[in-house]
Amino acid sequence: MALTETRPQAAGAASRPDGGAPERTQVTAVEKVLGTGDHKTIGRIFIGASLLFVMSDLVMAALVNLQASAGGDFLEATIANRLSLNHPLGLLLCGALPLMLGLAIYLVPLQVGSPTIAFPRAAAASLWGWLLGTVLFVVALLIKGSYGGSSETMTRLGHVSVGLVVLSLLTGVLTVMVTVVSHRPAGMTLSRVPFFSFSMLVTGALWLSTLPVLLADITLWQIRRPGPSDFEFGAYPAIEWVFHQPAIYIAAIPLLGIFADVCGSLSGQRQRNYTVIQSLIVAFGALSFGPWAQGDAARETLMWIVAAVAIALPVIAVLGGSIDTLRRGKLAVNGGLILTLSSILVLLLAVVAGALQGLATIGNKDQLFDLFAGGFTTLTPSTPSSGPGVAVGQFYLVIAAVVLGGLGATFHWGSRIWKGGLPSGAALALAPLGLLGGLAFGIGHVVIGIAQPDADGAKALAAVSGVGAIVLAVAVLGGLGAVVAVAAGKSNETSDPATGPEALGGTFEWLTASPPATGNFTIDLPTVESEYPVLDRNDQGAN
Amino acid sequence: MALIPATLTAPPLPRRRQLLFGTAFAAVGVGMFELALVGTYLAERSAHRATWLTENVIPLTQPNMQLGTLVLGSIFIQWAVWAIARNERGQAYLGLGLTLLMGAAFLNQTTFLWKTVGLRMAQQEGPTFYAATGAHFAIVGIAMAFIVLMGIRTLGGQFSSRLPDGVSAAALFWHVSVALYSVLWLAVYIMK
Repeated sequence: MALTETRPQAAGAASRPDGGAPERTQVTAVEKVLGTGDHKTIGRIFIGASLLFVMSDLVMAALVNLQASAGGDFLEATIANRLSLNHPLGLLLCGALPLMLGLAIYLVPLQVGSPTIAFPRAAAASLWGWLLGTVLFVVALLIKGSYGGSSETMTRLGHVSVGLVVLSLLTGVLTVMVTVVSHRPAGMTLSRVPFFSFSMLVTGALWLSTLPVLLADITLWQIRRPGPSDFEFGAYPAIEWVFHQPAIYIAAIPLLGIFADVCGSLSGQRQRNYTVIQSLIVAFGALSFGPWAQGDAARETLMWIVAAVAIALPVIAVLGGSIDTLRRGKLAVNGGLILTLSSILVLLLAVVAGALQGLATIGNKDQLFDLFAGGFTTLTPSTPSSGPGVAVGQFYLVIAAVVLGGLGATFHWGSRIWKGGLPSGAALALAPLGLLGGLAFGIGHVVIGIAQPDADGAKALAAVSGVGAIVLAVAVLGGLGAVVAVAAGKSNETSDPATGPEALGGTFEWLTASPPATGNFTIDLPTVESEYPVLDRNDQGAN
Repeated sequence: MALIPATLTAPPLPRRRQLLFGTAFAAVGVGMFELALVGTYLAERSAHRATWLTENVIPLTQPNMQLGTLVLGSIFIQWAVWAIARNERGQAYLGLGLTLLMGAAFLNQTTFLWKTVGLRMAQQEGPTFYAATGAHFAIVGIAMAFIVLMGIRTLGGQFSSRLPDGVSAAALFWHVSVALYSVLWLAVYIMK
């Protein structure tokens, strides 16, 4: 129910006793959206807006990399510097994290069998706060502000808007966590929570322990009352740790849950060793705890090296376990599966790049092998102390993985999000495009960091990254186009109900209508006696 | 005329411990925020050990009194939790009121301490000192607002022995604010 809607008992008292014009009792569509506390509307707006911002941030990333490939002749230097500093913030805080949060706000109540999200007004505040913060961030960036800007007011505005975005994301993930913990029906113990919801619980724990530290850094620099150059050379380096491992992996934790759930619901099979997969998700989350590794010194410790290498293991194990589930069932390949599989493969590449960074620091006097990590301060290959490197490539790969995973989840659960679902053909076409773009986006920088080519080679590889960003942006645009077409009623293609997740899915969201009605569930939910209550019900029906 | 039945069916309870879990998670976030600020203060102090707080003196009496005040508040709010769980509403209001009094006293003591120390923002210690102590000041303020809100809802009859979650949640947040102050007290005021 929209929070602005008139209560049913008040509807009869609409006409005034003095004979004046009757009070307006009907809420308009805009009022419904602005005042909504429905997690489905909030989730849809989060997903759509974050895809839009991801796309524009990818264009920014492409411009920055094309600038690097052109040797600094493509854009004006000050603009290039601003874009270079701010595009990772945009990609992470305005794109990747809210995309995962939007999916969670939409899907988690459905997965745990709840008619609503916990604290719906807080979820709505999270959406509008994030949207306002993101718009302010973009406005500040456009008017010579945000990090690297020349206008003091606009630079400060950009800085504050990042704080608002972080605060809003924290509010949103809190509602998701409480939904998982306290809205579960009887019988659904934590060890029976669907993988995506469980991964969001782990994600929430990590966001709650990581993002407040980022917020503290932002607050402190706001209190210092710095000038524009201080924001660039003081505040920005203070928050840059969140783009590097291990902290960057907090964006990718839900991908493990998404992939495990997609494989389960497409194969109709139960995941073997369910709690082991859950434990692996927890392990991935624990290894992505990053506030302790803010300084350069921390990145040369044994703990950092171990975390950088060990984090590959949960990804490989979840991939293996989920593919085993898929293999045991009747394989029905769809676009959602290909996209989510692509996201895990890109994530795997990111953790390999991270492991290489960790291993490179081992050695007696010098490093085991030379490797250039790089940073976002100036993405120009000729800059020896900064520029493209493995860490930058790893960041791009993680972002690409999240974007592909988000798109995959949007298509896989499309029939629960939009009426009839998204066209599966579009997902199959977008998957190779997205995978190719995502790989190129990150690999260019990883190769620069490992091979350390001459200036011409570095320029060529930066161009590869730039083109990759454009290709990935096109894939996102395709996904957005599919969403808009379905929302406008131009497409009514549905997945095959006999072989799709609608028939084979074992978790509660597959018991809802397409899209779910108000209150989500129109039937009595079966008692939860295993991780897959819908499969249990089907099995009992068959017997 | 319809008669009111002798026994009314109890209305359904809200979701189990939703508010308590929400408060616990929010407290984790708030805790990390405060600890990060204290950590930054310690890092700056370590980097400027020779010149740190050479112009100003932090007295010990005030911080100790502040800690005592907050701990007293913890006892009072726990009394309120105990009372609401037994439907002793008068005692619950008294406990909440006394906790608010302790909170107000703490805020007053903090501003007094800031004046006594006399640190300027332009000094090297200024930003981190005021960020760490100011953030905790705000946390106690939020805890007090939370107590007021839950107190009003208790007055409205929303919380009782059947559902004491609101008062418990306010108590939890208060206890976290006390725990955070104990870190601040040790790191900033004692180990100068």
